[in-house]
Amino acid sequence: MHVIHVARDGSKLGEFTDDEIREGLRSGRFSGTDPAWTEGMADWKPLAEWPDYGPVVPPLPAAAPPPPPPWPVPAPVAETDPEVPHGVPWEQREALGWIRAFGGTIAAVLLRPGETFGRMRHTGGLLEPLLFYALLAIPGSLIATLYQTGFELISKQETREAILAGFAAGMVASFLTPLLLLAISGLQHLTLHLMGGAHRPFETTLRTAAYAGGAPCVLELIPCCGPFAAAVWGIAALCIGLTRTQKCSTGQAVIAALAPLALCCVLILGGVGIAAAMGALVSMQFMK
Amino acid sequence: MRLTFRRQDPKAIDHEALWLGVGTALLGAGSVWLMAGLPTPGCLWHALTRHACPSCGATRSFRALLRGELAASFAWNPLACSLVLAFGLFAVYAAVVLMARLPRLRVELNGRRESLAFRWGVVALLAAHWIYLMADGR
Repeated sequence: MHVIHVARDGSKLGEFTDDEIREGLRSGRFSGTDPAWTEGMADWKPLAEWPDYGPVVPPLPAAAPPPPPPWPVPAPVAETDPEVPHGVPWEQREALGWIRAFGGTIAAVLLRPGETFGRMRHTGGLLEPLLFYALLAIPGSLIATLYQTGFELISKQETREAILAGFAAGMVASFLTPLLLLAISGLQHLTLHLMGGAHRPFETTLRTAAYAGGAPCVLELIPCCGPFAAAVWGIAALCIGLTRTQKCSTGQAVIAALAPLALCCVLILGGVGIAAAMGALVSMQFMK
Repeated sequence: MRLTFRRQDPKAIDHEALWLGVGTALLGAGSVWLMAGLPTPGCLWHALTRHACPSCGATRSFRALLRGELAASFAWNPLACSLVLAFGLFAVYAAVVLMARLPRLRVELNGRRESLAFRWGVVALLAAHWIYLMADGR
């Protein structure tokens, strides 16, 4: 079947059949300026330039009002220039207000990551994305610590001193999460760079990691499986984000996003191996 | 609902590569964690209420699956066991279409009614699974 991919403002609207495109152009669902692509084409082309659809594209009325932007855009140039993305709602706090911008960014990253990272500014400072990350990751980590401490207190599997020590360590670690993000995204950018997939600076990778890692932290409010769901969606959102912001392939993004996890596994296995080797050496000494 | 095979759009997200990578890495990391004997988090819900949460038994189910005990794995947590097995099937499919550059399988839900039915179906499945775990006396 002949399938046509249609996009708008740098994000994909979906895949449609020939009849759906014709109907969509008549009803106004699609615009003649929407870029489209199908198998066999070298590049995307606006629908109005397609020989099949040119006659179907209705002429624009003279006094047609401009379509409303999905999010309020402070700089009008951002709407017309596809190379200058609009930015995520969090970076439009003055227009939207803090709460709407905060909630809007969480919802956008969780529900529409492809579109959201397609709009994210590639540069513009680290303070705003790091603040967003800290506002979510620190409470998320604190809640996880509280859940674990509560469980240990109720189940009485550990001594009170051990529980308090674990709680204190968890509290300190929670406040170090933004620093951990810096280290992790540095490793991810390095991995991407080694594979030739880093087409923009480290700042872009860190901004992507901050939004992709911060928003899923709300899932940590769900007891039991919440942290697992947050981890899965955080990694998936980062992969999607890197493909959009660094313009790398999905494979490169997946390898870069998982590099820190792979390193952790290697360190754990290495630690277990060293411990086993040392244990064997000690027992050999005793045998002598 | 309609199943179609489509060529991968070069500008679109490659879901097969994405979920194959993420799933394999997470299952691999989980296996390393369990094999290294590292501690697993406890369930606050179970400690407070003495009733199972929807994910109760998932770690033990995964551990049984690693040992090749399929029946025991299913008994500990049917949903977790089914999800890991389903991921195994997906991984084979994804590896084949990625290596052979074949068209991708896509599921299309026609209209709002089918979409709603699918969502409520998932919710009903999760609820039924949770009821089973609680009735089983976990």
